[in-house]
Amino acid sequence: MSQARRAALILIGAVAAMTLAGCTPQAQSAASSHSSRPSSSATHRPTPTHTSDRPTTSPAPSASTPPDPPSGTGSDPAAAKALAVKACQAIAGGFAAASVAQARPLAQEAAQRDPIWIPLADDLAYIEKNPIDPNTGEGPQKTIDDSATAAHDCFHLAGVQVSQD
Amino acid sequence: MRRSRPLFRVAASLFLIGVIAASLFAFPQKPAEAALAAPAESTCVTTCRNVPPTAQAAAQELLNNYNHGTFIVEWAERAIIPNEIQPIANGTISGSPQCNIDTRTLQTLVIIIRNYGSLQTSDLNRHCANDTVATCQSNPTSRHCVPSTGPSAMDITYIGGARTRGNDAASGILLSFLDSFLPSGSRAGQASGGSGCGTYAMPSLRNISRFTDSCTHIHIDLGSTTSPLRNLTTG
Repeated sequence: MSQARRAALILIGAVAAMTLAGCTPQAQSAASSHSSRPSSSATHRPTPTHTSDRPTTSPAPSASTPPDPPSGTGSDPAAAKALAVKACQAIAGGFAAASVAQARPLAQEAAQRDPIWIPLADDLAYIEKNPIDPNTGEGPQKTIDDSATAAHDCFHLAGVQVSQD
Repeated sequence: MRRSRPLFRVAASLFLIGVIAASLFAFPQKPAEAALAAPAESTCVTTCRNVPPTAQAAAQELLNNYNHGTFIVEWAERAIIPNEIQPIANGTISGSPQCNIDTRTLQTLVIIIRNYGSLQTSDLNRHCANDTVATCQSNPTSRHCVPSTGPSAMDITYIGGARTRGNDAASGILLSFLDSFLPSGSRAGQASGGSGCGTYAMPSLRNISRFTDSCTHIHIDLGSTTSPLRNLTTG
């Protein structure tokens, strides 16, 4: 066997070992070392669970910063999507009244340029007119359902994650 | 050239041993299952027997679990116990109705603790316990805030000592178990592609739909359904 073949074999072995070893941290992180029955004083490490409530965009390619839409109306799917992305980014942290007020006109303009955004515009219009009271949770069931639909559309059509948490 | 062959064999053997050792460490046998308390059911049968029939009874069992360290509340949301669980257990929740929790959610928490030994939560009713970042002011339509009669959402960060981020093995095990008794129309967070979640495989579910969320926890709620938990015997 030539020196070159030996070197190649050694190199392949090393790469294989490093690749396999590279899986270890992820696999171990799935399995916590914590006791299955923790004592009352053994509270687990606090974990932030609400990062989605901060405005974030999903890693979907369509969520990249959109160009400023041109003025005027008419069929223009690209401009419509840019407007819809902005609308979804406005409500990324949730359906607070101020956020919905900001998002609704953008979605409405997007709907005028491309009918695919009509459901989003309609949902946001309903939510704006029929808000949930943030102090008591009182409000129409349709508002809650529409917010879930709007969040779904934002993620799947505009690539923007909107908090439902 | 022949003289160098034994040396090569030694080197090759060492690499082979290294590869085998690395593969053993890299693929531990079912890590989440190993971390979860045994015996745990994959379908709710025994665990779903004699479930507390009322919110008050379920809250009393949760309070007992809390005192024994098997129901753990994260520090930022520590008000869950005095503001939500305690008044429900005491029967005084009518004095602060905005702090109520859906009976089915309390029952679900009891069932999960029975099955896995322990549970850590980071969010229940956000009106009366929150981390000041995720609030009902910031997202009034969150199922941690609605309906006004008692939200059904629960954020779970550990079961039986295994971390649940929504995209991991423990979350998959939990979701399959929940699917065996939650009503159709229930929802879970952390669909693949969500923030920080990456792409991953999860079990197919019949009664629980998925939505995108950040992979720091597993979010469960009962959606808009008012149906009771399935396959329970209460007592």
